[in-house]
Amino acid sequence: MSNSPRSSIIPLEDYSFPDAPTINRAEAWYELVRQKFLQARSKRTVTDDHLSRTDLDTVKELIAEPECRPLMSLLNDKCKNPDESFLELLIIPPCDSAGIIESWAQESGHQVLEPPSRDVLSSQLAPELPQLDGHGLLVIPRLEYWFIRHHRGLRHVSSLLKMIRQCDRPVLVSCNSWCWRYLAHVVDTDLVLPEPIAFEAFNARRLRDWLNELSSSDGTDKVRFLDVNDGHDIMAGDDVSVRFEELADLSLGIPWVAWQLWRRSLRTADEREAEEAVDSEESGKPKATEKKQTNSDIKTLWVTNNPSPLIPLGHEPESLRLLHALLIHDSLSVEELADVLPNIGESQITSALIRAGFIEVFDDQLRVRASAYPAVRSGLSAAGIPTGAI
Amino acid sequence: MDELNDSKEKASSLINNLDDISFGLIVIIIAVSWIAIATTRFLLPMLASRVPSRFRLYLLTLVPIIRLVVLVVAFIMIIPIIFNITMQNFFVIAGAVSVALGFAFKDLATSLIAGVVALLERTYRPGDWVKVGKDYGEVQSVGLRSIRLRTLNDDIVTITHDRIWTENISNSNDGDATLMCVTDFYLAPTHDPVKVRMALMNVAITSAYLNFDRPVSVIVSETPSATHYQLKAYPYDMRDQMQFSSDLTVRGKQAIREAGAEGAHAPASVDYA
Repeated sequence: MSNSPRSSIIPLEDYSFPDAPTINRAEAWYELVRQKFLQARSKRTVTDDHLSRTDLDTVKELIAEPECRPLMSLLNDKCKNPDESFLELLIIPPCDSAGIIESWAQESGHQVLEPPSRDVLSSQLAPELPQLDGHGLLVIPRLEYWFIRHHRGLRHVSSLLKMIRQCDRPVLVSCNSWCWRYLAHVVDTDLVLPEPIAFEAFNARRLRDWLNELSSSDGTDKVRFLDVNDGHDIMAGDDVSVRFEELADLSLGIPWVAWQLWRRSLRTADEREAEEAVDSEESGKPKATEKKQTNSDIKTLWVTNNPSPLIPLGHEPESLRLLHALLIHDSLSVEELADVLPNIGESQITSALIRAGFIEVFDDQLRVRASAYPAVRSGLSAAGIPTGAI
Repeated sequence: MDELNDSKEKASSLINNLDDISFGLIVIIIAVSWIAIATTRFLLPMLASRVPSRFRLYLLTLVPIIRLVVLVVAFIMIIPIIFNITMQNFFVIAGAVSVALGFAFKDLATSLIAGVVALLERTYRPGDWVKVGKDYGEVQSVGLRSIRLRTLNDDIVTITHDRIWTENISNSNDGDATLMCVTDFYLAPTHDPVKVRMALMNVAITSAYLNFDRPVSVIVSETPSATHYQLKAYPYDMRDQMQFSSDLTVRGKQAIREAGAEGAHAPASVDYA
């Protein structure tokens, strides 16, 4: 990380997505037009089902899921010695399955306010007022767990906002960008909480340095990452590879989205050779491949293109409503989904979206996969559904 | 005899000599115009169904405008090929056309002129949701003589443009991407209106169809035997207006029950419409 410029925490309105490489933008337009007008479907969609177990294990072994340490150190700086009037609202991008704010708060010894269980959010019982008394910084992570989009589901978050207004201790509130957009409009959260702040986007150089550091820090095997198109080592040299510019653009500068996309773009040699054989067969032309001499001490991973998942054809409106509901709540069980979306909560769309790689199931909770987030965001935006700032 | 010769001369100078009229060119102009219009009518709606919904209305609006421009250009190109255009001839042609239209094609001419006015005034555009008389639906196409509406019951209704002279045209979205949906509830007067109003507000702001960038409001009024609640909100896609209203109705009734209110039982003589 030493070579990359240190990022910072910035006002949410100043958040800007990393620039796309020009060639990538042109390719993206071509792909969009091809899909829209030629009804073309991707022949390959890279999901866990399509990768063999061995390959995924190998990748996981070589690159452990990151904790986003750079962001945690920024939080430490931001929340150093807060006074009583300290009140900050930190907006984080969605699909944060690791819970960066909770992890940081627990590690730093700050008190964390637990959200009520989802069962009581929509029950007919009057909400219990949260207790915010105490000393030191109070961290309220994941505001999205304090409400459910149901006609009885907004009372807890309203009570919480009232208590925050009266609270005389430092408070750090965080929620994802989609939840924030929703709450700011329907319960006027923006009138109670201060102007939101956010982590600066990871640009291409920062992503490269971070991913390079992650792959070399666990110390088991040395890994080199070769571009499947030209065989170049994309981590070598000072210049940032176009691969990382593409990754920064596609991931919208969100580190955990970038990491998932990165992980999914990696192949072991056998896998790549198999795919090349298929490609050559389909195109009828032999494909130029560069065989690299592999050193037994160095593992080689090939970096491939990452096709976006496709929304089930003919079910776009229902799928988008479902994905939107998941984004503003972070995650929902099937039963909660039926409460939030009475018409489609119990339909088969959920299964189709899981199969297509948009949703994952974790502890009986459905949530949008980080790797599918860019596709989900652009789909929702195109449909005119209000989107989160990040 | 002199008068007859004069008339012949006038006639021959009004219309170009047949040998000078290039019928091939006229056919080419008509064919190119027809192809341009047909392509526009096919291509733009197809594009509109595939681009992000915020661009859909812009593309649909272009169809009648392009057609009008093509027709006017074709007309301007063909007239000098057939007629010898001078100021005197112009008045002769205009007079003849006026008489013909006035007697034979009065209604058609009225509709054509109304169509141009509607286009310029933007009374309705393809993609708009309009109400003309008792017919409410989405404007599918705007022709020279009429518009075609697709109603909520999936009927196609053809309405001539000349209705704009005599009737009010209600346009629900006026080129915008969304429109206000009003859902009515009639409740027996013995209830707590503050509770019910809050419950209905919560129903609207938690709907999956809601465009929450737009305002939501609940309007309350008294009728002879019921308290009338109007829940006003915007869906993010106006094509979902019926599903949105149904969602508000179903969940609204549940919320009203929980708020301790019940629906009004209307006496047979009261017409709420």
